[in-house]
Amino acid sequence: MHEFSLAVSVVEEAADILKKMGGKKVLALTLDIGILSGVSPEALQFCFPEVILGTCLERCRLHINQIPLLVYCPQCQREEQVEGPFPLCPRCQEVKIEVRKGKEFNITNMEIE
Amino acid sequence: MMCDECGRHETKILSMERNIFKKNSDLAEQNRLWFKAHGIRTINMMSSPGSGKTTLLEKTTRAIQPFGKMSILVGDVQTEIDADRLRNAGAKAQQINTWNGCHLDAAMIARQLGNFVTGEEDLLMIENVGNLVCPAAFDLGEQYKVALLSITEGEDKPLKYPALFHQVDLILITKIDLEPFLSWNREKALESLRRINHKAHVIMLSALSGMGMEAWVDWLKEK
Repeated sequence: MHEFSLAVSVVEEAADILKKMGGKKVLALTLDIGILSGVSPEALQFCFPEVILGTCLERCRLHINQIPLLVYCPQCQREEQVEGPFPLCPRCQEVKIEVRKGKEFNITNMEIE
Repeated sequence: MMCDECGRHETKILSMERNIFKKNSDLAEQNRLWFKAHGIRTINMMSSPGSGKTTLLEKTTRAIQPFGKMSILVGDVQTEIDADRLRNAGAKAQQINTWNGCHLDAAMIARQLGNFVTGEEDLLMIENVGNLVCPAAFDLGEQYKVALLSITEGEDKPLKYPALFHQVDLILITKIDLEPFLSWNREKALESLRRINHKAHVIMLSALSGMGMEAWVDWLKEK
C-alpha cells in the first residue's frame, strides 16, 4: 500500500508534461494500470482527490484503464488474454509463456488548458 | 475542443505513454551502472516479515567470507535491530529506516553508493522491507531478485502474491527443518511456484540446520 506516494508521482509527472506543453491546468487524466503492476486502482482513485489539492491538477478527473494480462504462448503460437493475475496460457495451461501486457503504470492521456 | 464546464475556452487532448515508475527506473539504471563499474553483484532479497531473511544473511556472512567481500543494506520501517544482528554476526551492515514506507526505492540505495557501499565489495545484499506487495514494483538497480518463502507461511503464497514471485530469479524455501512438524505439502508448494514463475531456480534450505546452505552459497558464487 503505497498508492498515496504513487499518486504524488502521477501528479509530478503530469505537472511536468503540462509545463512542457505550456498549459495552465490539467482537466482530465487517463492512466493504464496493469494487473501485475503492483498498483491498486481503487486505492489510487481513493487518495487522488487529496493529493491534487493546491496543484495544477486540482479538480482533475481521473480515469483508470485496468489492463488485463496478455500472454504469448509458444505452444499455441498465439496471444491469449488471461482472466486474473496468473501468467499461464488459458488454452493449454502452459506456464512457459511471455507476458506481453499487464505490467503497465502509464499516463496515456491528458486534457489540458 | 471546447471546455466541458464553461464552453468558453479551448482545451487540448494529449496522448502519450509516460511511465510513472520512470523516475525510479532511471535512478535504478544509474545504480546498476555504478555496480557494474565497480564489479559488484547486487541482490535484492524480498519476502514476508519473519520468513528468515536476516537469519539467512547472518549465516551467509560466515559462509561467504572465504570467497569475497560482502556488504549488506537492510530495510525496515524502524529500529537498528537487524543491522545490529548482522554486525554481531561479523557482517558489514547498514540499516535503512523507511519510517512507515513499505519498500526500499532506488534513491535510498543511491544515497549509500560511494558512502557505506565503498565500491570495493564483490557482493552487495539488499534485505528489502518485509512485504510481498510493494517491493515488487520498485527496481533498485540489482542484478538479481531473490524471494524467500518460509514453509510456515503455507504453500499458496505465490498464487496470492503473483507480481512479486513472478519476477524473481531465485526462490528460497526456508525453515525446511520444520517440515516434519507441519502439514506443509512440498508438491503443492512447488506447483504453485511453477504456475507463477517457471524460470526461477528453487532451493530448499534451513539457515538453522545448514541444510541447503551449500546450494545457496554456490548460487551466489556462480552469480
